[in-house]
Amino acid sequence: MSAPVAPGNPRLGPGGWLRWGWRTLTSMRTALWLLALLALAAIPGSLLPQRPTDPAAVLRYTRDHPGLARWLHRVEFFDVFNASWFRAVYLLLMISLVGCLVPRGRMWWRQWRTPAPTPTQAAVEEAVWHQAKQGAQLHQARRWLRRRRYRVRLVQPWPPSSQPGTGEGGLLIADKGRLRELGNLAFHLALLGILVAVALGRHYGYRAEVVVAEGGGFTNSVVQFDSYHPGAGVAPGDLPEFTVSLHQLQVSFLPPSSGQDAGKPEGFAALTTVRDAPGQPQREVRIGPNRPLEVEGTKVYLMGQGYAPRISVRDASGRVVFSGPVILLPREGDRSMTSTGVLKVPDGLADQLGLELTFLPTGLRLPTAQGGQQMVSVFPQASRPVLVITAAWRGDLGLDSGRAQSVYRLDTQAMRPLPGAEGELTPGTTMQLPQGLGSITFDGVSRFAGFTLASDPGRGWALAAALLALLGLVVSLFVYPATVWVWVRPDGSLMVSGQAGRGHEHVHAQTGRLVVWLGESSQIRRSSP
Amino acid sequence: MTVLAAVLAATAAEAMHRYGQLSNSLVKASMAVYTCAMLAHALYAARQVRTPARPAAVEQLQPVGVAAGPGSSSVPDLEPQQPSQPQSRSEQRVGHVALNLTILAALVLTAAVAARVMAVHRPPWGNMYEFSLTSALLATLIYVVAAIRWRVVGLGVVVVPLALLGVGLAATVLYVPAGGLQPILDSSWLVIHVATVVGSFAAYTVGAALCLLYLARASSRPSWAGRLGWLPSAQRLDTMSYRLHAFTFPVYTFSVIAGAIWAEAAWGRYWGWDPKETWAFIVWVLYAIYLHARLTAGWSGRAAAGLALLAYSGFIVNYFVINLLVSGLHSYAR
Ligand code: HEM
Repeated sequence: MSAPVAPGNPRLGPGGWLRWGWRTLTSMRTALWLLALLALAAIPGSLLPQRPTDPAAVLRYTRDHPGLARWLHRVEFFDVFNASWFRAVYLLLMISLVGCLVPRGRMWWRQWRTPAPTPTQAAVEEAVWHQAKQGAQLHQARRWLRRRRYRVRLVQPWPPSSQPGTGEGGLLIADKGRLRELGNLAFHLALLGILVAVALGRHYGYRAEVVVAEGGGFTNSVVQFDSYHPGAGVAPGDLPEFTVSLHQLQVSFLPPSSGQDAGKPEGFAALTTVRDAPGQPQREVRIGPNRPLEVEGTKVYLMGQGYAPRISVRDASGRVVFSGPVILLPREGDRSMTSTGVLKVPDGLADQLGLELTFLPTGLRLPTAQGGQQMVSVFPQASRPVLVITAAWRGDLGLDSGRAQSVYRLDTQAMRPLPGAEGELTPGTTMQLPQGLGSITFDGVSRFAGFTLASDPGRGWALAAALLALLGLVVSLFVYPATVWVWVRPDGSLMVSGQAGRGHEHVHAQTGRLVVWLGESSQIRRSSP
Repeated sequence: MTVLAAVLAATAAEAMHRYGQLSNSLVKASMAVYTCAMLAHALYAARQVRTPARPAAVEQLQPVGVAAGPGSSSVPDLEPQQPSQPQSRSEQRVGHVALNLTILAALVLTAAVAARVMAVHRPPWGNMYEFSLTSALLATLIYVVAAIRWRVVGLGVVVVPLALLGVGLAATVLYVPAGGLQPILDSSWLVIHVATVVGSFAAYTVGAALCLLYLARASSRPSWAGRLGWLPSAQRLDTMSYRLHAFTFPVYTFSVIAGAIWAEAAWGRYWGWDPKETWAFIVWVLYAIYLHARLTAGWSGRAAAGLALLAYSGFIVNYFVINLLVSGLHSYAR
């Protein structure tokens, strides 16, 4: 950080400005403003689509508002929580926190070890005193205070100026609540700890996604993922080599009799076998919502599901050129789980073949408003499955073109339509493809599962730091510093006075209890000015 | 066997339906009682506002807490009591009626929530409808305890209409018939998370009401100051408000932590800056600033009260705007 130049102020050199800057940065007021700025800065992140969580929404927004979006991109509003200015604010806050914690920690240590300070005579005389009953003993008061975890110390003679031997009085100084400051320090330190744990987890962790149909599986390795986001400190060889095979995905939906909730998913479970490492025995694992699989710090979450109809394609001579499940994605917001996707057959036919498919779990032919009929899905459970070929193309699928390819979409640049291929299939039925290409069979219905894999080595530390913060918070809010003075007058009578910080005036009530405990209701006495 | 199972299933569904209907009727009944309680509080306030302020009682020095006796209550008295305007007999009676009507409303609402639990077989905070009912009930209960302990029936002038508003919104805009949960919401961490959010929301609501009363009481406008003499002193209101906020902040902190634990179990990340999480963070930061300002930075009480109200409005934004208008992973609202 560079110190501001001060042309008009000869008395403050660069060192002075530095010191001034440091003091300002580490002051409570600055910290509060930075904190407020952090809250303010988070607001656009909650209202605008964010690239890390929803990149598609960012693209949509950019398309819909090109002029505004250019600006928003420039100020990093589509990735607020990684934006340079957001980082700047929380880094400054961290520095400010450290700068204030170090001296406070040192001060706390000194105060922890030194006994409660002896008040001035004036302070004692100005205090509000309660008179205890005649005959109350100092050792009783001492015991009462000790039991309530006060530190006690007797100053004798009191007043210090009194002549020794003239029936000297004494002042018992009792204090407690030093834990408050410790709790407070722990709280602020733990906040730093959370940030460090988050950063560590990001650096040494990774996230990945993989989609598997029933009967299939995957190995935890980079080549098998559909998407992969490693931290900077993760090499591909670092991933634990476990394998997961998906036998069955169980999904149940609320029945049509459940009114407006009908068709909502009621339960999911992926029945899998897992091999924790090559050569190890397999184990059965049931993965469900809120119940991830965990292997060596990597957790596997069931995050999505849908249908994967099993399809076979044969050439004109009846030889199988494609066979297996085809993953079709449920349409967004469609509760009846109408799903769409494509089948690509690159090899074995006279030409490469691409089919556009729609799957209707419970397909019914319903009349449309125009008087025609339409096949629609009325319920997400596959009770009357229908596979619809909506369009077909032949030619070059473009798999070798070097263009980016999606398994869910056809690149029809080098293809021509194949009319007459459209049609509806039910399980077990076969349809001939036009132009003598061959045939297609709908063998049956499988499901697919979308898994998210996440490894975050910082998460345990983050939780520990968060719990420490909570503990420190409770201590710093509910432990309060309190001081009680018990004045033994030269005649042997006792007076009690409580000292409390702002907001903790109820120490006075405790003092009152001590007086009552010492005997008799008390009267108040202000020492005359 | 299958016939028996079908019969059992049918009776279970019927029982669910019947308890759901009962709960709905009780909600309506509680709204009627809440309305009466609100009117009684309004009468309580109106009578005293109209009464010209009497001269303040002669200041008496009193050793505080002594009167309570040793080991009486675990919560010590709130600082030396500043004399506020004394009440006449009939004014006190109106206050009692208002408080008792509020207790009755809370009882009816408790029955409504209990019937809902019988209908859905899970804690009553599975959607915004149930969340609103339960938090309105809790806010009412906190007010009743405060009114008895701290003698602030005036607080009900703000809290009871707010609770009625919460129940009313639930019964109309947010209504959801009794039913199950989405699978992702079926988690014990979620139960803990939402339970503490409901609790903090209720307590912060009463805290916000205290801040409003404080701002009115501490107003420098003589026309206000003269009319509000029947409320507790500004200093007492300030202390009560701080106590309640300080108590609630760790609860809310815990609820955010529990939410993060649940998010980790459900989605594989404990914090993802989802809109809901972002606003939970904003609200948490604002309340932290309030506590700092109140204790260490030496802000005036009025600025601190404004901060607490700002933080509370952040909570409202998170609850209504984010739940209903901004989509995120938290599918709680639907
Ligand atoms: C550089 C930054 C910070 C400084 C200098 C600072 C300073 C302080 C100080 C001096 C106290 C003691 C209050 C007392 O014991 O009377 C305190 C308390 C507290 N701080 Fe901070 N703080 C900072 C940052 C934060 C942050 C970032 C948060 C949370 C977002 C936070 C939350 C709290 C809380 C909750 C308390 C307890 C309430 C209280 O006892 O006053 N602080 N802080």
